[in-house]
Amino acid sequence: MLKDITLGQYFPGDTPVHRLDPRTKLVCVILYFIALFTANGPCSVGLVFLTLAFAVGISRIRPGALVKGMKPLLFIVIFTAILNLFFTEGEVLFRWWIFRVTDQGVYRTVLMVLRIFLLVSSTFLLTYTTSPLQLTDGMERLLAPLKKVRFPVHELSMMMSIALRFIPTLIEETDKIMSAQKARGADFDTGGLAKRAKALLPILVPLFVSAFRRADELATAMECRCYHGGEGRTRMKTLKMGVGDYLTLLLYCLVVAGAIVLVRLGL
Amino acid sequence: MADIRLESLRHVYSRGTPFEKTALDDVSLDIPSGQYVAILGHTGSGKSTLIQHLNGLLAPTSGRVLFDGEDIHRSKEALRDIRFRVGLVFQYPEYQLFEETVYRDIAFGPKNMGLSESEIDEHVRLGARFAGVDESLFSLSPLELSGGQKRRIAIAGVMAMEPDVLVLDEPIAGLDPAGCRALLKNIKEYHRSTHGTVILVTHDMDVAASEAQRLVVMNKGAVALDGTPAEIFSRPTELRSMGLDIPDATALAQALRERGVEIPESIYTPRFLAGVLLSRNGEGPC
Amino acid sequence: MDVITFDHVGFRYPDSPEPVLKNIDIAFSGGSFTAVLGHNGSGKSTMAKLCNAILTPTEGAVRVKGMDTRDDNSLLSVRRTVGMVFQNPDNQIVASVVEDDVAFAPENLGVEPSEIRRRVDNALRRVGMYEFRLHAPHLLSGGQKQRIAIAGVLAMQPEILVLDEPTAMLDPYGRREVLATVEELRAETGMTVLLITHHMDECINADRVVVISDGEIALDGTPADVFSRVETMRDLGLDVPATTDCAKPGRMCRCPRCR
Repeated sequence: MLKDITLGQYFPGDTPVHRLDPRTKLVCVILYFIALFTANGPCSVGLVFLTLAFAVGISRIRPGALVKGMKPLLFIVIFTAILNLFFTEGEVLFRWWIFRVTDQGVYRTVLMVLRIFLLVSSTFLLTYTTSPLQLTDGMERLLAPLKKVRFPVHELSMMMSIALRFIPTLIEETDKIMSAQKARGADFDTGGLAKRAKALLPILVPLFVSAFRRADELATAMECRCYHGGEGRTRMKTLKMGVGDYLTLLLYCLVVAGAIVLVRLGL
Repeated sequence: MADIRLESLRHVYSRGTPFEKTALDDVSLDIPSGQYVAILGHTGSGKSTLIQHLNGLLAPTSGRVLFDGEDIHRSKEALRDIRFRVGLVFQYPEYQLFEETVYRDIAFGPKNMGLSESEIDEHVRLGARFAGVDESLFSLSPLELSGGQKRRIAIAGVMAMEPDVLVLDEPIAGLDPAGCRALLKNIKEYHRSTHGTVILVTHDMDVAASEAQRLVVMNKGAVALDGTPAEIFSRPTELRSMGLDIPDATALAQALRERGVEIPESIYTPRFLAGVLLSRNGEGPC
Repeated sequence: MDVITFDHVGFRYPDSPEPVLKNIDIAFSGGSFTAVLGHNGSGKSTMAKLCNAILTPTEGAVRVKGMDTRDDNSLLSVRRTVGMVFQNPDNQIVASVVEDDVAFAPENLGVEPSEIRRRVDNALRRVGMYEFRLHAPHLLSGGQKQRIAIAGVLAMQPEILVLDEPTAMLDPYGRREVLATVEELRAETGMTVLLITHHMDECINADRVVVISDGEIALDGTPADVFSRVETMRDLGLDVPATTDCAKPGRMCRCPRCR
């Protein structure tokens, strides 16, 4: 059943990582990316690796959950790994048929796989420890200055949070419509691609009709509750940056600086 | 024939996850061909899960669903065939309409049965007639019609498959009293003229009392009570303890009894109650 | 004092030739509990939407505490005064956490954060859903969702509550839950309530029952007045509470012996 898919990767918890302001976490992820792409020697890569390991440790997220997150990317990782491994110039370690493996190839492959892993894991750590609502909230506030150039920051984040709210509702609805059409003999499992695509119509049409109806009713309900855009709107939960937030930001700045220094030193 | 037999049916949702939930627990039930049965129960009592087993949309975790003595899950073909023999109308079925015209929507089921054009046409007209859909609506888009009309079209779509067993999940939910009365009349008429089985899921006790020959009360995933309306409604306290209402007439009779008026226990329609009260007052037959 | 007045109100949707409401002239007094009955398509939902300027009359005027609903300047005050709860519990909940949803209206009104917190907690306690404040709404029952919707409206601190078929999609348990909540609210706050419904038995506790048919007021009186007119109600496509059938057996009884 569709319902069984766990959506939103948030693992509720009460660790220092969970408690950080979402803005801090968003900025830290960006800083981490900078450090990650700067790093290209064993020491600098080691530094960024340890930084993430430290954060994961505090967050109490099982490392297994992060590894699992790599699954959908496995194909790309393997593909680029093969390219790197066999087609990099350098001192040949061994040959087999038309393939040859060089020391540089091995080095770059390891580096690349590690980088992808750290890149993906750091974003997963963010979504695992921050609720979607906090994330949109954090983004809205970080992007607030863009309102000055008429970028619809509030509207976008409102849309995102409503979308998040309705995902479970629409999944449940899809389930129901599928069952109802199956009860009338609809067949979603056999036939070629074209036939299967056509078989989706009896699901998609009612789903769209219903989504529009919901949107319409929701808009009315929002108006009834005095919604009139972002202007003059306050929030019940105000985000507050604490000492921990500033310290974390400082730490990540240091990591970036450290990575740059290590790279300059050729380590 | 179209006898349904459920043998020790068990259904567990999301098995092996923290959300594991036993929706049906050892349900055994015989529904012989031609009965008009109402299935009653509080939300979450397992009645929706139960009916989705009747046409094989859900497979039992353990136990068997037999149709005319044969397991409906014995082969893929049998499972496909059962969808057409047990017609299932879901709650708020109007939300599943998708075709451009009323006619084509009603024809969706018959078409899936692999019938010829002329047979499809016959089925569509029959289904429409039973569900009270006027043929003048056939060329219209279902989306333009009122909620009550849409409901009828969706029901016609299932009736048009000419199933041996018609299962309806809360078909009158959200309709106004006139709409309810008309639809229930259509269903009764369908039952009378097709001699097919009708299974009505409802939590409206007055509807169950006035429509069905037999009531099956579900509670916590099991069959709690099973019998004629008179038998079931003579146990108002048990029904209440299962979070169910009792028919208004039964409630009134019970209230009167508590105040010392001598009234028999098995009252479930206003008409019957009125008759009893009048004869008590010595006014004789009304 | 009358809090909502309909002054010869007519309403017609732009794309339809027939008016939905015709010459409605009625007033609702402060603190009263009125049930508006009517079959589907009678115009009763349109009447609800006219109460807080979601729709504005095409003829006549609707006034909320003296404010004309067509006046754009008083739009927010009108909506804050008249809280609305709709039929489908899913389609009026905005946020993924109960308390965030209840906070939506006061946030829109620019209320101070600490005051919002106070109002949200109060509103949730009022409807008995305080323990659920951190839950995800989609996992709640229909009745619970409707109570959340009521709390979301209460957080605006309205004087009038308009409920448009709030129980139509609920099971009997959910219906009782919602009606009991409304009943309690009235007892504790003396709020004006307008309940739009087609369930006759929901009207029994009302001070006044107004029956709408084909866009016009067909009956207006106390529940006892209205429900004693069994034949008229039937003709209007409405039922009377089932047990009313027993009241006049001589006339109503259709048992074989009577025919």
